[in-house]
Amino acid sequence: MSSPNQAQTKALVDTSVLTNALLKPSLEGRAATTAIKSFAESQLPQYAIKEFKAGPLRSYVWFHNKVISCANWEDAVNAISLIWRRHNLQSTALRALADFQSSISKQMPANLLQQYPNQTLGEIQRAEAILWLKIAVFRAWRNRGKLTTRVVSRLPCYQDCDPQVEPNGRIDDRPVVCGADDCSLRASFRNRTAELDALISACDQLPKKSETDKRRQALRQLRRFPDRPFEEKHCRALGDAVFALQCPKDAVIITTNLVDHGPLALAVGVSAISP
Amino acid sequence: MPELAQRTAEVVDLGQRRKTFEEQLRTDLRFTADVHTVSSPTTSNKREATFEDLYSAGTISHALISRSRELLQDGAERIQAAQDLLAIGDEVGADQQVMLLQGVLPELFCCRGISEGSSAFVLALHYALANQRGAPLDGDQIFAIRRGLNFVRENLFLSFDRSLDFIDMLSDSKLVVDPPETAILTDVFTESSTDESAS
Repeated sequence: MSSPNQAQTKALVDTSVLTNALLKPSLEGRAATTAIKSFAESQLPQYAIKEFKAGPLRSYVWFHNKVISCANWEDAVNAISLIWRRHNLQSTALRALADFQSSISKQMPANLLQQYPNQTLGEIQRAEAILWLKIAVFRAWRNRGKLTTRVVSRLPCYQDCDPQVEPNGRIDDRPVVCGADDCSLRASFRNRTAELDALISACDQLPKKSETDKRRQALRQLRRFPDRPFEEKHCRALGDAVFALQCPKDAVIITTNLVDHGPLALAVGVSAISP
Repeated sequence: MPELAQRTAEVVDLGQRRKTFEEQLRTDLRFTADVHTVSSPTTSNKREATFEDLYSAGTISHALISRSRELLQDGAERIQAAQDLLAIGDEVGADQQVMLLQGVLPELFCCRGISEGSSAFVLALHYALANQRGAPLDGDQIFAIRRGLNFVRENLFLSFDRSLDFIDMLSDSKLVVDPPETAILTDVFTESSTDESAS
C-alpha cells in the first residue's frame, strides 16, 4: 500500500500532492513533481482542483489581501496566528516570516532610498510581499493543469473560474464552491453500492476526527438515499473517498496523506503511495 | 593592470551615470509636479509632489524608465558575460558576474512603478539567486535568467501574466523563486484546508 508499485504506469494525483507541487518550493514540492512525472500517465481529478482552490489557494489569496489591508508586513503575519490560533503554529517560523530576511529591501543600501524618495524599507517590504503572493497565487492556479498528463472526472456543477484582481489590487477568488443544489458526484457514485459499503466500513480504520465522521455520514447518505439531492457540504465531506472512487483500477493514488487514503483505497481495490 | 584600469573606468562611469540620473530625476519630479498640480484643482500649488502623487496621476517618470533601462542593460550584459565565461570553463568569473547582476536587483525593484510584470520577474530573480545560498549557477540556470532578463529589457512594460512565463522558466531550471521563510505558509494553510475549507 505504501510502497511504489513499479508495475503501475498510471497515477491519480490527490489534493495534498497537487498543493505541494504548486505551492511548496522546497524538497516536498520537488518530490511531488518528480513523483507525478515518474508515471507514464498522470491524472488530476477536477475534485482536487476544487479542493485546492477552496483550501490552500484560498488561504494564500486571503493572506495577499490581508497584506494589502494592513499597514505593514508584520501586522499581516500576526493575523495568521490569530486566524489559525487553534493550530500549533511554530512561533520561530512565524517570527522568521515576520523578519523576512530574504526580502529585497534588506539588500538596499541607505543611499538608494535617498535616490528614490518617499519609499521606506517598510513600504518596499510590503509591496514586495504583495507582489510575491500575487505571483504565488497566479502561478499555482495557471500551472494546475500542467502538472499531469490530463485533468479527469470533470464536475459539471463546478465552475473553474480564474481568480480576478480587483481595481483596488485585492484578489477575488470566487467561486470556491459549486453552489449547486444537487452535486454531480451523486450521479457518478449512486450505483456503486458495493464500493460505497466498503468505504463506509473502511471509515472505521481512519483516525477518529470530525473529518472522518462527516465522510462516513456523506457516504451513508449516498448509499441509503441515492435519489436525495447531494449538497455542497456532502460533496466536501466525501473528501478522500472521492479519489478512491475515481481512481482507475490500473492506477495508484499519489498522496502525502496515506493515513486517510490508504484504507479507503484498499477498500475499493486500488492502492495509495507517497511521493 | 589593464583590467584594473578598465574596472576603474567602469566605476567612474557608473558614478557619472548615477549623478546624471539623480539630476534628471530631480528635473522630472519638478516637471511632473507642475503637470499634476495644474490638473488637480484641489491640490495646493505649493505642496511638494510625492512619488505616490506621481503614480496616482498615472505618470511614470522618464528618469525612472531611463534608469531602469540602464540597469537592465547592465544586468543583461552581466549574465551574457557569465554565460560566456562559463562556456570557457571560468566558473569564478561567471559567478562574479552573477553576483554583480544580483547587486542591481534592489534598485531595479525601486523602479517597480514602471510595470508589474518586470518587477515580478526582478523579484523572482532576487529570490532565485538568494536561494542559491552561495552555490554557483549552472548553464541552464544562466540561460533561463538571460532569456528572461533580455525579454524584460526589450519589453519594459511587461504584463504580469507574461512575466509568469519567464518566472516559470527560472523555476524549470531548478531555481527556487520563493522566499525561504514562506515555506511555513503552505503547511499552515494546508492544515486548515482539511477542516474548514470553504466553510
